[in-house]
Amino acid sequence: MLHFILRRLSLLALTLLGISLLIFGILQLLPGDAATQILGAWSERSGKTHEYLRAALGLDRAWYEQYFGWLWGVLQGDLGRSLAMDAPITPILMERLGYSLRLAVPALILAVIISLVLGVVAAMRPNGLVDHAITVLTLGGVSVPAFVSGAILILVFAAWLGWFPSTASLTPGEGFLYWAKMLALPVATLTVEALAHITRITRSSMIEVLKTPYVRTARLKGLPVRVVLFKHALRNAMLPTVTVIAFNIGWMLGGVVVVEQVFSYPGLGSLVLFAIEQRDVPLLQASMFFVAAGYCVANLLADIAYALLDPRIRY
Amino acid sequence: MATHSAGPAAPHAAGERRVTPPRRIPTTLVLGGVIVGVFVVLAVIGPHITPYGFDKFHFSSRLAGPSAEFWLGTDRYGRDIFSRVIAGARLTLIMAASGTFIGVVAGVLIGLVSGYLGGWIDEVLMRLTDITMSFPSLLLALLVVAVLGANEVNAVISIGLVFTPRVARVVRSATLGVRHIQFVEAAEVRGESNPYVIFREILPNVWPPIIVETCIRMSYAVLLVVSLSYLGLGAQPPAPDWGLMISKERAFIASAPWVVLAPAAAIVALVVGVNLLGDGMREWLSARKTSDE
Repeated sequence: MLHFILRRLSLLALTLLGISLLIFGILQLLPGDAATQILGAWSERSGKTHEYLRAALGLDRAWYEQYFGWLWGVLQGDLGRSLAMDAPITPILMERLGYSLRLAVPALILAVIISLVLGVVAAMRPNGLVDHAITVLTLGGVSVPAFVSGAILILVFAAWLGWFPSTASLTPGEGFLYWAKMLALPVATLTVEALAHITRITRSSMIEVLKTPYVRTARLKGLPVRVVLFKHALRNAMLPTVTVIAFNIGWMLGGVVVVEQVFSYPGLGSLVLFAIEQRDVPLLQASMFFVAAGYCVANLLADIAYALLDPRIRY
Repeated sequence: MATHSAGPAAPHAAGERRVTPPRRIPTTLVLGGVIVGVFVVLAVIGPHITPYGFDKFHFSSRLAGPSAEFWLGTDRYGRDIFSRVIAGARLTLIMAASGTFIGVVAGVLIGLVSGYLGGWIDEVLMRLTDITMSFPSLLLALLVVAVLGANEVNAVISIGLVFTPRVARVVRSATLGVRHIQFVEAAEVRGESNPYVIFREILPNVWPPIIVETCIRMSYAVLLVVSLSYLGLGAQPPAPDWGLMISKERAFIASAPWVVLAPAAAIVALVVGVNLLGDGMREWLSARKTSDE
């Protein structure tokens, strides 16, 4: 097990290196550099200033010097300096990460619980009425983009019923109830996003597992249905589900960008959009790398969970 | 189509379907085909049947509710929403289809080459796909559009780029499945060139997974197109893009819900249609395969 985890960790390091190179490479294609960006309209006329600024920002170095300089900083926890905000990026990212996690973690937990139950219930009687109803629901779930479900939730629960606010603008230092109220609609939107995929895969793997002899043995032994379903069958049916949950983290990260935009929520996603709008290259580079790294780590955790759940698996 | 439904075994109770592999066309495929077909027709003839131009202002009836004059109401400039939603079908379909096309063509090429040649080429190509796939798809698309600039063409390019590694993976594993079957080896022994073996021997035998994957990609493409426009990184105003319409008009959702609901319904209908088409296609192709054997 330890050997397996170490191997996966070194693979992760290599992947992260590749990702950082890819982001750096793509951003090199941007017309104009940070110095042009800072000087704005003046950059045309201020030849000397432009050169000084480039030197001060370290932009006159060869690309590999810039890249390794950046990488060295990242290893020390320094992600560079934002041009648009004129502040170090690392603390900003950490703050935004906290906000995004408050959105994503409850949504993921809710989605996993609800979809495991739905998946098991649907698999109990394949092609039954309940199963068809759940299939239609999940098909709807994968077909509705987050900004549409978010808009509908806002229309019903904010505009018509007035239960929740339509934007999640935050004031720090408020209690749990305040947070719950602010986060209810964004979390619900994100949960719906993730729900459908997990339900679908749980259903189909559960149907397979329920056909196996050991499940029948457990039933014939006289164990109650609930115990057989949730203790015996679900553990094996969970295997593909774990992979899909990890995939969903990636899908949710995309969903987070959209959901944060819908509810004007100050998380990582809106930071990425801000960086794009402002053409803030260092911020874009750092936040993109940060998100992709988080995704890779989530995948790694899923692989480890997979190996823990299924002792037959050793890569 | 008539020959299929004429068989005596055509009607089945839902529960029995799995026992006898159906040779008829699955309902999902028909339903999805009809929905997508309607959108394709709208995309082709749309501009000729809409009551108003999609960018025509009617200042005297801004944010007007649905009426005989404006079937789905108007937006804040008094533009007819019905006309805009119909006009948007063409834009959305063309963008989604071209993005899918780029991704599938590039992915099929990479997958075939990688799976057939193997060796270091395979290793390099697969590590590259690993790295691109370790980005969440929407974020990679955002990064590409951020660099190239926000417009329709770049949104399409970014979607193609996001899809390429995913399609390549599927095609590569399908290629590995047929790579050592005798007809391939016979062609190799005959001394056929690599391109000949790849395109004339392997490609015809990996069509089913490519078609299914194309359908799946198409539904993601529609979602990506409207999401990018919603984020302001796809089509630009005054284009009648559904995602753009929702993002620009969402401030009026409380007083004039139709400004958001009409394009939202169009998006959901199209994606449901493409998903049904994909599901049905998968069912049909796998059923055909089992009944051939």
